[in-house]
Amino acid sequence: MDVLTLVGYLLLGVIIGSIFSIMPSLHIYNVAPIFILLAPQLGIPPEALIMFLLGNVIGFATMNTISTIFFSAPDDTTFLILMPSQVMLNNGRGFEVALLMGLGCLVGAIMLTIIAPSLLLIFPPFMSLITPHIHWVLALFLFYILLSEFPKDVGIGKSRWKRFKGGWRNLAAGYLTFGLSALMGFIIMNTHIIPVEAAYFGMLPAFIGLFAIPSLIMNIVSKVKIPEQKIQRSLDASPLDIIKGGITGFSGGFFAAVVPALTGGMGSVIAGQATGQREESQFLVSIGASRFVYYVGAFFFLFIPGYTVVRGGLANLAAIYYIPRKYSEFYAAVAGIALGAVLAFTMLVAISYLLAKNIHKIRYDYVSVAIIIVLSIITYITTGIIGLLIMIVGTGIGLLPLIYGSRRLHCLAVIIFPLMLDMAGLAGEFARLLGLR
Amino acid sequence: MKGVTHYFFAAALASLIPTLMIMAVYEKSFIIVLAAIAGILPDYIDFKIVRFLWRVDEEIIPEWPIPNASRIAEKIAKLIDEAWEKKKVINVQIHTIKTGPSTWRKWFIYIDPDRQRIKVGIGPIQTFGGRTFDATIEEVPPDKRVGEAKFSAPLRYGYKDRTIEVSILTGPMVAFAPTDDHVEVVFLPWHRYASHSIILAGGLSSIVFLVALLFGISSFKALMYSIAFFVGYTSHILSDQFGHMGSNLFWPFTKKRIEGLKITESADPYANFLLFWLSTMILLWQMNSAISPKPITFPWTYTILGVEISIAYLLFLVAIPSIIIIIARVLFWKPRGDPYLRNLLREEYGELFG
Repeated sequence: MDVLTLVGYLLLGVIIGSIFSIMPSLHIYNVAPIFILLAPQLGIPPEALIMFLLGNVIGFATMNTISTIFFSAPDDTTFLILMPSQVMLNNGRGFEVALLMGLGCLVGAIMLTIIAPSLLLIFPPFMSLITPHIHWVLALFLFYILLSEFPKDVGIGKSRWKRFKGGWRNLAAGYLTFGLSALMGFIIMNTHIIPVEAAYFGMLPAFIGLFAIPSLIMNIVSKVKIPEQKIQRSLDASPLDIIKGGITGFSGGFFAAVVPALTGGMGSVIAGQATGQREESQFLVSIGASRFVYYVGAFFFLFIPGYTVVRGGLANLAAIYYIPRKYSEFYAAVAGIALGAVLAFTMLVAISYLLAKNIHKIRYDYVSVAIIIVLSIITYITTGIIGLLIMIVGTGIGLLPLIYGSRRLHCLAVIIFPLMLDMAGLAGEFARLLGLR
Repeated sequence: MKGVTHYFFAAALASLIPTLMIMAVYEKSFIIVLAAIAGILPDYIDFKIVRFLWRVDEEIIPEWPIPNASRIAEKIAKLIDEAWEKKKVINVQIHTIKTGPSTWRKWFIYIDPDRQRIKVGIGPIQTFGGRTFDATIEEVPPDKRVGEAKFSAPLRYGYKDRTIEVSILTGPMVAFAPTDDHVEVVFLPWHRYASHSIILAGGLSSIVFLVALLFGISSFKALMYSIAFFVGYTSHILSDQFGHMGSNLFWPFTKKRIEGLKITESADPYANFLLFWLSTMILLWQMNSAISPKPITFPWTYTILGVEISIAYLLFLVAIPSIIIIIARVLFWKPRGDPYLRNLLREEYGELFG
């Protein structure tokens, strides 16, 4: 199949992926398996399917930011921007957030395409280097999250106990969130609590519960009213802010794409703290870049000829059907990422514009209720009643940081903790300790 | 240095001990992580434990929602004089002005020991991320925005070219500590006091050793855990010494912080990033060296005094990026760039910041 046709399939994937990705919390990894099943019946060859899936991921990485910005339903990579984007949305600047995040995606795409040829040289030995160390590298990040939570307040009053209580209120809530998320993740991954036929969607209820539903509940409780949005013709960010945010996000996202179990959001936090980033527009650009590089990069690694790197759920599934081995496919994917990112950005701008123009007309609490219903239906269809129960437990855990003002980042222990134990060969022992085996 | 820098620097230093890396790779040990945790521990002890338990004698609580700068300045001046007259240390907790879920009204305290005055300025509202809403200064009546008060005690303040900015989360604490001939302003008296002591590092490392033995770990490995902890903990203390504040290095034998070398400051993002980058490069090099055969063979590698060194690695991944970061610092680092603060202190601006 010629390169132009392959790129055509990729762009089609971007459009279809983008449309599905507007739906809050509907992960493209949960939709793409349907495309994989349909492809042979539609006569789509495997090499075209793989490009189509790459397009899906590009569309998702760019467009799914909308559900965080306008509907407060983040996922495990965008929950970090929830607070600044909500503040900006309440100040009528939702469209600006979308533009900054979209710009981040574009910068991420540019940087990914620039470094792509060097991946052919660097990537295989780098993977051999990181693999024997992965257990402690994961632990390094995990403990950093735990230890870097900062007390929000010392409380007013001279009594030491009162101050200690005030300061530790959010710290303790953060540690509790971490512990409960870690335990929930470990139980899901090390038992058959999720039926085998739904194993592919195993973490979906936990993610929806931990990240998406708590914010929606807060919207309903606080009766949020979104004001009329301004349509900015210029951005409150200098080119230097965009470059700095882009580089930070790229570093975080790339590292997270390489290291299993890390997510783009987490990589971005570490990279942001290392570079001393605090400026909001830079932060939004960096999360956009990080998210793009994390999702697209992870899937793109599958295209590196002569070396099979399978990163992420979709790549795992796609690799069963087809693994690209030709250089022409690799470079078609590189070109496709550049073109696809531009297409996805254009769609993001258009859809954000429409939403920004109309969001103040709709009752936000009703929208939040509707999204919770949709998410519950998705969870029920994919994982059944047990999935719904996990989602409810996850929601309880996910509400803790919102109520006590601690970091939602702790919820990521749901995936990192069990994987870290698994890679260190300690999962069995821990399971026995909990009486699970 | 910032927490993330200390954390990765400690891990990098520990990785330089070959036995620790061998344990990490071949025994699936988390020993490098222990060193990293020790590297962040001194600040953890200070910011999450000691500061809550430190005695508070007075509090500066700005009136809400519209604070009065003059009243705050008067109270601070009165406390300085009180510390001098009664010859007692007064610990003062200064509070921030929270205006919303993630917004605060920032304000400043400028201590001028030479002219014996305190100047307080109320600023605009800012977010946690540092975005300032300049127009919100208009909510504060002009007569309440800037306040000044005189004190009579002889005062010494090591940071007299700095202004205390009270912005987000929790405000700082200062102590007015009288000596025989003046009152000393001690910024964050609870910080880098006992926790940043090399003696304490030794004590805690011994506890790590004993705990490891209690868990049935062999004495050699227990010693390794203890060394990893000591390396991580002291890396924090010694790297902090490059800043201004310094640390009380030999607590409990000494009671005061030993002044820092003033080469950099903890908030300098470029210095932090430089150390973070160097730490990452050390870690990568050591991770590669710990595996046999090495996954990556770097060009121009030579063995000098039994140590393998790659000129290419040093040049392209260490030297050139470091030079770029240093150049960026020279070009872009504006540590005192707050426009509102400049405006507030305009009469001193030339004198203070050159």
